[in-house]
Amino acid sequence: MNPPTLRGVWRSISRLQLLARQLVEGFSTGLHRSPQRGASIRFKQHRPYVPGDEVKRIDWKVFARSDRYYIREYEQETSLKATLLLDLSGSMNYKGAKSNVSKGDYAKALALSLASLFLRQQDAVAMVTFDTKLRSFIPASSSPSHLQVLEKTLESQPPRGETSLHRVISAVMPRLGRRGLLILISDCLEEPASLIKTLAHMRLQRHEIMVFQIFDEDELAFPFQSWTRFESLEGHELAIESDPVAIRKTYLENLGNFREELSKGCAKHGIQLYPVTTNESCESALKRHLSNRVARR
Amino acid sequence: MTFLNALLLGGTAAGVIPLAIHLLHRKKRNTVQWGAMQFLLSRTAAQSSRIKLENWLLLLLRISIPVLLALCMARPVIESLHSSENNTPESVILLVDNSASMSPSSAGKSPFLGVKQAGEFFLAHLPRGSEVTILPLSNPDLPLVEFSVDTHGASQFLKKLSAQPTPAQIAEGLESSASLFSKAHHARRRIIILTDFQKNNWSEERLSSCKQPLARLRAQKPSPALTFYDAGTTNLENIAVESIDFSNLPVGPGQTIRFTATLRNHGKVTASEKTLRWKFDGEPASTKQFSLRPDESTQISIERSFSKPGVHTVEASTEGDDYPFDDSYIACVEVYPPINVLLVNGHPSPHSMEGETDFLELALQPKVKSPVQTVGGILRTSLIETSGINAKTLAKYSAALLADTRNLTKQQVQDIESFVREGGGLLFFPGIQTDVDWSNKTLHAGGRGLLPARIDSLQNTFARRTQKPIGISKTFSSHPIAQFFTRDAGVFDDVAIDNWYSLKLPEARDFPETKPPATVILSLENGEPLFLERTFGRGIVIQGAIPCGTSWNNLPTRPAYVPLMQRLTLHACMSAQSALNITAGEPILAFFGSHLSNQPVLLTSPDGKTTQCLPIKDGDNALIEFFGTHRSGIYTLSAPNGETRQFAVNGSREESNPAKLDPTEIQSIAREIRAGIAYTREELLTVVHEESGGKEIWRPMLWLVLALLIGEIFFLQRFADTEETGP
Repeated sequence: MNPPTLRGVWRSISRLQLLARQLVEGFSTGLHRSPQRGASIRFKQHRPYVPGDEVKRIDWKVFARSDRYYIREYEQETSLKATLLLDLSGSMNYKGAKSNVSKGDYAKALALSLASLFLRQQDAVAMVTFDTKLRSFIPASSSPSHLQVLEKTLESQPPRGETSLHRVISAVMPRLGRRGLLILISDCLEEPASLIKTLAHMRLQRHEIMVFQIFDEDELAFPFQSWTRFESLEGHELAIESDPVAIRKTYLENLGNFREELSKGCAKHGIQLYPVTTNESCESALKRHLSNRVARR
Repeated sequence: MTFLNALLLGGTAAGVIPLAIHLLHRKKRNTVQWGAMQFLLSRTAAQSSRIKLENWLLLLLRISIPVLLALCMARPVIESLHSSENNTPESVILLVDNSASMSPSSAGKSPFLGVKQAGEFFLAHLPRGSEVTILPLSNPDLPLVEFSVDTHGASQFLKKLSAQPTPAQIAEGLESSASLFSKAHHARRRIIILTDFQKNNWSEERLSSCKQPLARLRAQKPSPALTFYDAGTTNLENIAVESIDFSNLPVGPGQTIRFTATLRNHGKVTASEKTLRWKFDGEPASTKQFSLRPDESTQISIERSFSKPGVHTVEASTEGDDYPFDDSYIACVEVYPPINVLLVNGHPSPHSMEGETDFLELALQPKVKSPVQTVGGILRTSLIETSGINAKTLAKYSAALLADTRNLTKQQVQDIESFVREGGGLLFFPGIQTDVDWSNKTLHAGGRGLLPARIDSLQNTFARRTQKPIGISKTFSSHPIAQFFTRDAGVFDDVAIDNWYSLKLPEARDFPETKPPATVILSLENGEPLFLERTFGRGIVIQGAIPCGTSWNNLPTRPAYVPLMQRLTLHACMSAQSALNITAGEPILAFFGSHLSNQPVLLTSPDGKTTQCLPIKDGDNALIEFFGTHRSGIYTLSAPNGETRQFAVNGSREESNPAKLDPTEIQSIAREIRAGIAYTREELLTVVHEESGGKEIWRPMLWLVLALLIGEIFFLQRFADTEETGP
């Protein structure tokens, strides 16, 4: 089976737009609590008055000229800048036997879904891709065509190399400017303490942080039975050969400890952590997590 | 370390099975490109190394189990370890000296009884599970029992064992033991030689022949311990009838034969007023008193004639003494009926003594005078000319003699061939009339015909008369006729042969049979054959290189002529003769006509037991072979057609001297061959248990296998627990 292209995955989640429409109401209002509301209002179009419209919004000048009621509509400028931090290190290349997509592709799809949601609300979306170092930085834009730019960029960047989240985030921080929404999409497979430390530092900058932690089902269940050689996806010549049945217990323990530490660290600093598995569709993952978020507000 | 079942060592190959399974699984190993390495590193990495180690350990265990099991089954023995337990089962070979010297005497002295009692005592005290072989030294190729764990049954066999009139074959016994030990099942191995240490059996010559089998035994792993049991007694007296001698020339009915008995005193006391009794055909004939000083021998003769042809028995015996087996000697003598010989004169002459067969006729007369002992009396000759040869005439004679015959008709040649094939004798003398080409073509026929040799050419012809005549070589062959003349070689003096035919024996490659194509009886001084012999069918053909008359040579006028012609003629008549007097242990060989093939012949032993013998085909004869001549006396063969043959078997007189090795000599032999000596049956047990031949280690190894099996289960369980609970 050929690996699904990014475009394919993207299409498969196009229903997300439908979903987004439902979500936008609750979600976007939550997102756009800008203190500069109404400071920059720009005329967009007139439309006929329908009963229920506020009377104060009737353009009396037009009424004077045409003797008809028209409502004057304005284009509201967003104050939100969402930055997608997308981990494209080697470990994101993992694709389990039962999964349709690799973690990397899933992360890209998720990133594009989120970008689409933001752009739909005229929010500006910036995107940073990285492995050990910064791979690309796409500045924020709210233009609808920005999505194509993002998609194109992602398509040209396969996951490879090691992860060094805290270093990359530290490096990219000065370029993020004012406070905004930071969405980290990664498997977060690195030392939780240093990751938490970095994210906490950003939190101090008054950024709001969401972390989508991507797992493959295999990584959570460790279902291997026969003698296996595990070779590192992160480039270095690291390999372990063992009986997976014999080490499952320890592995799951290690994983549990990691997740617990990360989860506690995130909770402590008000970082929202959303664990996602690749066998769950992006839409259901987003629906599940974002509706929770709405509910929380 | 050696192995009792080395063949089962092949089972160690089963060790590759777990290895193969391991490698097969290894080949099936999965490779996963994995991202979350951090959860596999740290403790799991250490755990992986431990699991690897555990798996290697498990593999090692699993390989060791079949390998050790195969080693156990191969029954390893460590020679350097000596089993200290007296109840360790052992493999024992008892070499029992049942030679003639062991036989019980009339006075009741019997070393053999002591040997049997010691043997039975030893068998009764063998550790449980031991196996025993009993080899009688009279016939060590036939064990009484072969590595039987039934020691009681072996005891019964030993009880029934009797002494045989043969010497003890110690070297052969050791050789058989060396071979038999390959079938032994225990690491502790013993050879116990129960013997009387008779000097004759333990001579230096006999001991040196033991070196090779002893070396074979010593090279064996585990090598057996050797113990002697001395059952000898001293101060034994023995007067032996050593032999009965008589002329080996055929005699006819009524002819007197002189029998001479030789007696020897092997004891240390003078034997006085002893009696020698003669028996003929089982009937007492006469007695003679004699006295003998120690180590002295004497001869007593008697003359006797037999009225009927056939085999007659003669027995000479003295009073019983400590060695009863040589107190009598029995012999068979054959009295022949008259033998008819047909003389064919191919070149008769009206003048006296000029005919080709005239001298021969005289030489074969019953009453001929000769300086050498003659056969007179049993040959009857008839004379015919060449034209008289036919099957009907030939059938009346035992042998035909062709003297300077012209070319025979095809029918005549065929008649002579069938006559010889049926057992008749043929003597061929060439002469002036001999057609060399015809003879070679028809009678020799490239080796397939009657004549053993091709007639090459006439040597020293009349044209070269000036040359010196040639004589008969006095370097005699091993042929019995030639051997007879070794004592009277002078009779060939002055024999002068002017002309002779050069006889060429066919090349060996023309005769693929194993038998030599022809035997030279006598040769000329230049080495060329004078008389040749070959069997043709059941008969014998003798071919001469000279005529039997006086033409070309002066042999008929020399003293050798009469005995030579008589013996040649008799030899040609007596095809495939059987030896009638045999030493115990040697086989009886009896030739019968081919009509007896596949019909059993009944053999009656001196003890009255009968055995059925099946003849085997030997050329045109039916041959009976009987190897069980372990008893002295008369053996009788009875053919289904009523024909009977008698054979006299006497024990070897090698055993007659009762002298025994003295204790220092016995100890020196024991030292030399590293053997222990026991003088009483109790000592036999003690000596045996002090020695040892290695320790089997299969039992501890089996425990080890069991431990490994338990270890494997334990490891598996432990690994499973580790998997469940983590390190």
